[in-house]
Formats: sequence, C-alpha cells, structure tokens
Amino acid sequence: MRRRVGVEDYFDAGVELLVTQGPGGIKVGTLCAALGVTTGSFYGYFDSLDDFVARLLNSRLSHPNRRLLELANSEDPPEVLLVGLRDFLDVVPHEAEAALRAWASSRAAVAQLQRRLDEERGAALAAILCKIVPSDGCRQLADVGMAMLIGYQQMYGDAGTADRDRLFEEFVTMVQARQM
Amino acid sequence: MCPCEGKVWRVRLSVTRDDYFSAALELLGSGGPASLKIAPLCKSLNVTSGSFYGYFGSMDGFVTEFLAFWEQTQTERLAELSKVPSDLTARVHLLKTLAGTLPHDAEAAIRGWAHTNPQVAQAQKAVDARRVEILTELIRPAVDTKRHAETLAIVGVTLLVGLQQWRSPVTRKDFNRVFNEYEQMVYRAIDQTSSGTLK
Repeated sequence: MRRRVGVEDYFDAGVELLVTQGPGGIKVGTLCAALGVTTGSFYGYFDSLDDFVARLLNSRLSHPNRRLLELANSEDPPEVLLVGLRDFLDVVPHEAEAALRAWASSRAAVAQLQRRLDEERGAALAAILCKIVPSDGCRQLADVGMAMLIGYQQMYGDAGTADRDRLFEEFVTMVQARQM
Repeated sequence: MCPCEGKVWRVRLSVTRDDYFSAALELLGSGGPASLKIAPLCKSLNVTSGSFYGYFGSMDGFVTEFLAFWEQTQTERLAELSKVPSDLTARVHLLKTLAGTLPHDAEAAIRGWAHTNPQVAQAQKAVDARRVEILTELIRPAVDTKRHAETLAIVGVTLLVGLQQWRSPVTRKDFNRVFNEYEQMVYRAIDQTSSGTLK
C-alpha cells in the first residue's frame, strides 16, 4: 500500500536528487519517478519546476537559517552563542548546499535565491557576532565565517565532521581575539 | 606612428601559448566554462583557428595544457615568490598580497566546470591540495606542530575558495576584509609559539 505523497516528500526527493545526481537530476519526470507518482501529482502541488525550486529553497534550505535567527534574537551569553554556532554547523545540509551553489551557476532563478539565502545567513551571523565582539569587528568576522563555511562546503562537504571541528576552533580563536 | 597598427602586427606575429592561456582565463572569468570554445578564444586573440590547432591539436589538448599552466602560474609561482623575503611575517604578507591578485572569477568558473569535467576536477583537487601544502610549509617553522600549521593553511585555502564562490566579482575590499582577519590570526599563532619556544 502506498502512502500519500505530500509536499514534504517532494522536497526530500529534491534534496536527495540534488546531492546524488547534481542539478541535472531536478526534473519533473525524475522527481515523480523517484516518488513513484505521476506528473499529475506534481502539478497538483506546484505550478512549474521553477515554482518547485523556489519553494524547495525557501522551505528546506533556508530552514537552518532560522536556527541562526533564533540565536540572534536570544539573550544568551557569548559562550552559549558560540556553542549554538557550532551546533548550527551540524544542522546545515552541507552537501546539498554545495550542490545548490553549483546549480546556481547555471540557472538564474536558483542564483537569485542563493543570493537571498546568503544575505539572510550573513545578516544573522553578523547579528550574533555583534553580541559577542565590539561592533567594529563583528561584520568583518561574519564575512570570514561565511567564506569559511562556503569554502568548507566546496572542499570538504562530503568528508565528515573532523575538519569541521578543526576549522570552527580556529574561527573561535578569531572571535576571541576580537573579544579582548 | 599608429599604435593600433603596431599592435595588430605584434599580436599576429607573436601570439604564444601563454597568450591563449591568459585569454582562456579571461573567457572563463567573464562567461563561465560554456564560453571556453575555440572560436571565441581565437577571436579574442585575433588569430585563425589554424593557429589554435597548430599549437594544441584539439580542445582536449588545450584543456590539458591550460590546466597545467594554471597550476604552474597560480600555485607554484606564488610559492616561489613568497620565499623571497627572509622573514616569515613578510612572507605571509607577500603571499596574502599575491593571493589577492589571483584570477578569482576564472577560478570560481573552473570550480563550477569541475562538476562536469573529471579532468578539471582532478586539476582542481591538485591545486587545492598543493596550496594547502605550500601554506603549511610556509607556516610550519613558526608553530609547534605540523598539524597546527596545516590547520592554519586549510583555513586560508578554505577562505579563498569560499570567497571566490560567494562573491562575484571578488573585490579588493571583500578580499581584504576576510584576509586581514586571517593574516592577524596567523601572526598571533606565530607570536604565541615564538615567545614560548624560540626565545
């Protein structure tokens, strides 16, 4: 007996295809085949492939950013914020984000959403860091954090967590140097 | 004297392999991997495709040589130059300045290209790994462990790759904001070690 396929199942399948087959894998036919449904089902939920992509990115890929925004709006002390940032790294779907960035280079609609997600994340990161270090350095540190995360995803996104801890520790030393 | 006439004369006579490689970097930077084709390449150099085939035989042949050129000029050359100053702080600073002049847009395009071309992917990995190695060797004498030197190097290369993917184009301001912070981090690591062990 097949359970009913919902919007979330499409998003799961979309992320899965993005990671396993690359951007070329995101097609209406492939998505429906992966879920064992007809294309009629797809068009019941989405107007078009672009509509699907926009909603996939908004819901699934901006989800980790909400964690950052919660931190930015919290009253937590610096040590707790830093722990929160480290935990955030375990929530981010690194492989999917790296695949998304590759996709953005060939599809304008994805590139636009990618920029928006980056801005959202950069602003949230800056807001958190501005609660930890003086204001003359926090935006600069946010840029460092963004570049480090994106670079990590490109170079080591599929390599497990070892390097992630190592890189994050160095980021923390930069933050601490600015705290003094 | 008409400078334009002289220029056409010079270009036609002396277009070299390196001219092709520089033109390829330009094309990659402005139009991405899809724009790297024989016709636009020859057009930008004002030569016929006969010249291209005379040098490289085929597009595959060209890509192989181009990737080798990239590794050489944007990786090994930087390593050599950064060894010129005798003091480590000056070396780190020089390497930062040199890294700022890398063809960032073209390198971002090459990384995109690597997703669809295994040969490019291999060259990309080699360049990344070599850059980590170069930076590790540079920092190694000034910190306690090889692992620490390597971590600092990985941070540097990661920042470069991330910046190139994130910002298009990478402005000098973007570059300096991130790499000034990195440079200070490396200096702190060096200071802590030398005050503890060398003196």
